[in-house]
Amino acid sequence: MAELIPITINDREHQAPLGARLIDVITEITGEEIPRFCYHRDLPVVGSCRMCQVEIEAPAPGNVLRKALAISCRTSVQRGMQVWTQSPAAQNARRGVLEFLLKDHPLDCPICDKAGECPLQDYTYREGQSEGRSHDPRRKRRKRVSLGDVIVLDQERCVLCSRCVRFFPAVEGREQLQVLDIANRSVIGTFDDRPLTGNYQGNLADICPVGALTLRKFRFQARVWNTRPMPSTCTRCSRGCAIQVDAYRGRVVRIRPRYDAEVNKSWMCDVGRFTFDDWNLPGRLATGIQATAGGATDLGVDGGAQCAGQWLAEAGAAALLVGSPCLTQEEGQALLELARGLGTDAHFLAPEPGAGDGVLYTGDPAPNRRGLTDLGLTPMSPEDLRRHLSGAGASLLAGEKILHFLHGLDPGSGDVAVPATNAGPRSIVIDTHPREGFGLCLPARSAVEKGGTVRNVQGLDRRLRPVLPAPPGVPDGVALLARIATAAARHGALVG
Amino acid sequence: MTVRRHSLSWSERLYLPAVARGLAITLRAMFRPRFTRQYPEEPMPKYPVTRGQPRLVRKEDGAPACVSCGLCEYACPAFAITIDGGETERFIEREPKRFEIDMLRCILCGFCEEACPKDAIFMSQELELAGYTREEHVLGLEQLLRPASDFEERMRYVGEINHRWHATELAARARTGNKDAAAAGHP
Amino acid sequence: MTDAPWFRPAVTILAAFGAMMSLAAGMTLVERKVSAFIQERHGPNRVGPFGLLQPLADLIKFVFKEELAPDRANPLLFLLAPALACLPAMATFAALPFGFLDGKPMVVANLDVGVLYVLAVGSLGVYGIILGGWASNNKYSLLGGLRASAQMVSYEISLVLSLVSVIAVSGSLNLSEIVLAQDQRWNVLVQPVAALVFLVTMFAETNRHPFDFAECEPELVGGFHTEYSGMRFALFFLGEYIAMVVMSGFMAVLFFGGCDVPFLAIAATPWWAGALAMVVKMGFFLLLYVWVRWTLPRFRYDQLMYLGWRVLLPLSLANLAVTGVVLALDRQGAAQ
Repeated sequence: MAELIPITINDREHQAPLGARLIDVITEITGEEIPRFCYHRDLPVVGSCRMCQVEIEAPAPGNVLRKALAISCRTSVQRGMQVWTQSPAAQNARRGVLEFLLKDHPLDCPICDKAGECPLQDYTYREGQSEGRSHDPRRKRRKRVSLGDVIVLDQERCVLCSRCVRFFPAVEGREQLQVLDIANRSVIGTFDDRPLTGNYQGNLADICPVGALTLRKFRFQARVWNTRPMPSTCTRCSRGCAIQVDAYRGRVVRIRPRYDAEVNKSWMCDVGRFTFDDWNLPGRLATGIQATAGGATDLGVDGGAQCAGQWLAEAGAAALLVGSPCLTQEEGQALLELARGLGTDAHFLAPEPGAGDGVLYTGDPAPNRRGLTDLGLTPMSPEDLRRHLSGAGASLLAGEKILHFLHGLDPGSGDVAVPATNAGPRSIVIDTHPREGFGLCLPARSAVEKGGTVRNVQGLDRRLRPVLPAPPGVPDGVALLARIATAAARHGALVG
Repeated sequence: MTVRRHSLSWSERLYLPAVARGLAITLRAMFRPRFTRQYPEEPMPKYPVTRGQPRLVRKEDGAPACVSCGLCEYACPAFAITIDGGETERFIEREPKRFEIDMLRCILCGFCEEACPKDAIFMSQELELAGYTREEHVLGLEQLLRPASDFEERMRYVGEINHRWHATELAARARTGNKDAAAAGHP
Repeated sequence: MTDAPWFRPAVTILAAFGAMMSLAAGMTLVERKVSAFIQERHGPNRVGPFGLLQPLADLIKFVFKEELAPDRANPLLFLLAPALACLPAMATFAALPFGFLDGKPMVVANLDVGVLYVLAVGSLGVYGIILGGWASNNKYSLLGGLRASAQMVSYEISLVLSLVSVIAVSGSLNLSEIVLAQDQRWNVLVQPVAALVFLVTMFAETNRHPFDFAECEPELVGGFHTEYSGMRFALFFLGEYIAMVVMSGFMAVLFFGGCDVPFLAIAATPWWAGALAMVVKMGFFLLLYVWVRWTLPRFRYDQLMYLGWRVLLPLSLANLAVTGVVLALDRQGAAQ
């Protein structure tokens, strides 16, 4: 921890760590956001946009006080420093920078996906002027440059902040994008127009302060002021990145990283960012369905829980209880209690972890592997489960995606039909969609519909939050397991 | 305060002259031209200020002027507008794939027209709004599009209004020092 | 067939009934048209040319409207009242002479006591209003009926007294003879005060503006017909208009020479010209009814009573006294 020294910001005394970046200090202490384009919390500082200028007075060599404009991202807190963020000189300087940036910026905010969350738009509205003074025609550039499957580049909108250029070396450790050409002809591009590669391209759309880099998948899907952002945690790998889920008209349309200093900083991988189609699938299961000879009977959720409880209680210690690796800690605990009451063990399905990419993505598709292990659930491989499934007196497979893992399917693939599972007459599955081959299907909430805790690979507990409303009548996983346990107790199990 | 009553003269108390005067007035009224407008045969005169049902502008090349930016959808206080945007090969990049106005919800306030940055939606002079089913009042893109020539006068009028508004807004912002502008957080 | 004894009475009755009904029906249209013109509107103009079929449309509507009767209303009287309001007005029409054909008056019933018949039967019309107000089991209706009866009592006296002076001048109670007596000189010239009193009381007798206290919608909702709907309401309506037609007819007969065409002897007038003159005169007074309605505001109830008892009654009494004295002197002069 650096030494705290007094600093004067806007004529008021504050304490700040010596040598800290002025731009962060000002935001942290006064809550005032200094406009910035090139500066990013998690990227190297270049100080190229000059947007964050403030007026400072600091002791110069020779012990004289000098008043000057300085970019707050490249200035460190010094002893005897005074800062004015809204002095006429500072405001004037920033307005001048904005005017030059806007001189060639196309007026296509109505088309641009960034509109609504665009720093350039916000700063212009806050302190810029609304009419240009230039008579020169705007610069023409290429509007729709494909940078691979993920990103589309619009060179006209680009303000050459170089955040994207610095992103790849800083996060992935290799360079992909560059500022090409010089001076007024500068544009962003890849060498020889090669497409971008890697698992972190999506972050470019987040860090781009204008609409120059946009996501192909989100392009023109929704206006950002209509989407409802909700904080949650990514469940696509065991990293557990902090995310923000944007829902629009009851569907997930975009996922963005949320700042978490201990896990993912400002980034997330493309796997987590783009696999959300499975959450928007229609045909959800919202009731309990029992397979009977030559058809299916709708038991309702309560009736289904009664039936499940009876089956499990009658099987007793011969019952097989397996949870999905997507279960939250709370659901895992509920499954554990149920297993103890029946006198058997609770398992969770533990698929073989794949290879990570060395940055964020761990390659382990089981998001709560560490948490469930810590709880006391026994890991069970898909092969073991397949072997035990038909032989068990009664079986309960709990939690969404468990059949994907069982059959080795990609859990994010929403449109792949899960093949019928030969699980025996007294088998129960709790999943988001009706599944074939089970004696009883019960509904489950998906990861964006339930609240709970997951423990990531680092052992940090992170929250899941309900982003979308669950289909009517679908209970929370903990509540459903509790109902099954109550029903089992009625039939003789020693639950609770 | 006391109100002094005017005591009536003999001829006034007779009432008959007053009755005759009254009858003369109504007799004259009988021969004055009719004030009532016979509506379906004589439609109301249309002016640029007439705020009829909102309609979309079809440009000369046949494409809608709308880029589906969603500002009218957002401005609409009655949630009458639904837009689905999508990519197009045209220069404009973005176009409405679905544009619906539920005329049963529309309150003809004109906010959509005011919000539109592309001069693509205008309050037309079409006033008649009657039908037999709810469905026929949900107007789709093809039903909403009108040639730009229909809106020439309205366009000029709205331009004037916007210009005036812009001037007062600029003056207000200069007065308040932009304090009301929203501060957004950016990394 | 034309020689059959029933032929002439039948034709007369049919003609009179037809004239009465068409005049009343036409009046509903005229009322609406004239009120519209006074208010610079168009009036009904959608049914038929210039809205001429509007009365027919109204009739169809009335027939198909639901007949509602209030809870605990007297069902018999509630049903009877509209007919009672309508029938006397129709009956008085019988004594109205429309001219002379071959020296015989064109009238349904050429009564020697025509004036008395008209007064006696015409006064019965108020029973319909009173009964309708009473049978409705509604306080507004009852108040309307009470007002109608009080008003009838107050104005009937002045009406009769003004007629007495006319009878004295004409020397007959037979309406046809009263017409003949005006061949040279209309009664309005001889009896202007009686004509004025009759004109005012005529409005009051038919419950028309500015004396329509029996319905008086700002105070009594609809007055005596508040609870009436459909054809029963239409009968009240019809009764009012027929009463207007009849009263206009009497105004024409008693004071304006009936079928007499000015500057033309009655005997020398063709029957159609006489009938036309009669209809024109009636039409003027019918128009006056409407015209006054859309011009004058309604009286206050105390003003109504003041006017009836302290203005019209002394005025008609004085007029009768003066008439009597003048006639007596005149007859004395003639005897000498």
